[in-house]
Amino acid sequence: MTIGPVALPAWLRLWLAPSVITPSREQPAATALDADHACLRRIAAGDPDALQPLFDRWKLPLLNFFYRALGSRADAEDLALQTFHRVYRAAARYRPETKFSAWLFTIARRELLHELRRRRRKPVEPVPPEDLATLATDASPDERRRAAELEEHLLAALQQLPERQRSALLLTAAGELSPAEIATALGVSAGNLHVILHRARQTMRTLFSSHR
Amino acid sequence: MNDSSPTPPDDPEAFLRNGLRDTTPEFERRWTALKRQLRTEPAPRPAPLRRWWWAMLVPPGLAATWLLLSPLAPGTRSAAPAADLAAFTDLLTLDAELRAALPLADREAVDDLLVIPAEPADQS
Repeated sequence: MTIGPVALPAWLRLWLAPSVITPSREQPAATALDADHACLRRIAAGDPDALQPLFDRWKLPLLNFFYRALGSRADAEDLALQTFHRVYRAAARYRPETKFSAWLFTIARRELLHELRRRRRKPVEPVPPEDLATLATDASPDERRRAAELEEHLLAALQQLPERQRSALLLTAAGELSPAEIATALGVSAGNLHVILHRARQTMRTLFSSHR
Repeated sequence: MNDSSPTPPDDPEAFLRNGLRDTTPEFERRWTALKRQLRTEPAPRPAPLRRWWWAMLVPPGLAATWLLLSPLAPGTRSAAPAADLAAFTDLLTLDAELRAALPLADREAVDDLLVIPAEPADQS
């Protein structure tokens, strides 16, 4: 959908669609909006191809988040695609005041919670060690075996964390979001996030060391 | 794990920092299919329509508020008129009782009773 750029008075355009039309008063530096915002505006204006750059940029962070949260690559791929679908459908409702990454992972976490409610607990299904970025491409068979063991133990330990602790830890470790964005995505305050992370790390160290 | 391994073995978070190396061909194939599907879907509902939808709810909302707050509202019209009605009924009753005694009073007394000065005389 394209909205006539100049047919309406400026005040009316601002009131109608600040997220679709670039308002010059509220966002003086339209060119400073990052690429994610620009893609969302194009999607909201009816351009589905604008989802591709977002997919390319965020597919691996999303896949990693879901894979480690669920312990299954197949489920992670399902949820990642569902998340992109939701992003497409919700693009018109995106408010530029929120960072895109926080908004994206808010949607992702909602998908995760929905999935966790829907399904029964399943045993983890670690990917082959060759699929992990942790393993050097020229790793020896012994290193591969060791990496596979560690991955399995890590996934098993993660499954024992409460969902909020697990998500906080995964989003922090991924390094894609700032603490403030993670707090937004999880719906907690910055101080609360600190406490959640502290508990998650303590539990993980205990669980992980007991596995080794 | 030997020293060439990029993963410190005693730090789980270091492990978490590195996830999947890449996507699978199956995932990319499904993404292509999803993109194709999105092209056939209606465009996401833009913000203006959503705003107009809420704007349409404003007049009924105002009407409901007015009904609740107006003097005709059921909650507000019961207390004060009920008190007024009781006082008025008492007045009518008193008038009926006094009217029966009217012929017993002499003319001057009646005039004195009916014509009451606005400023009562000083009794002191």
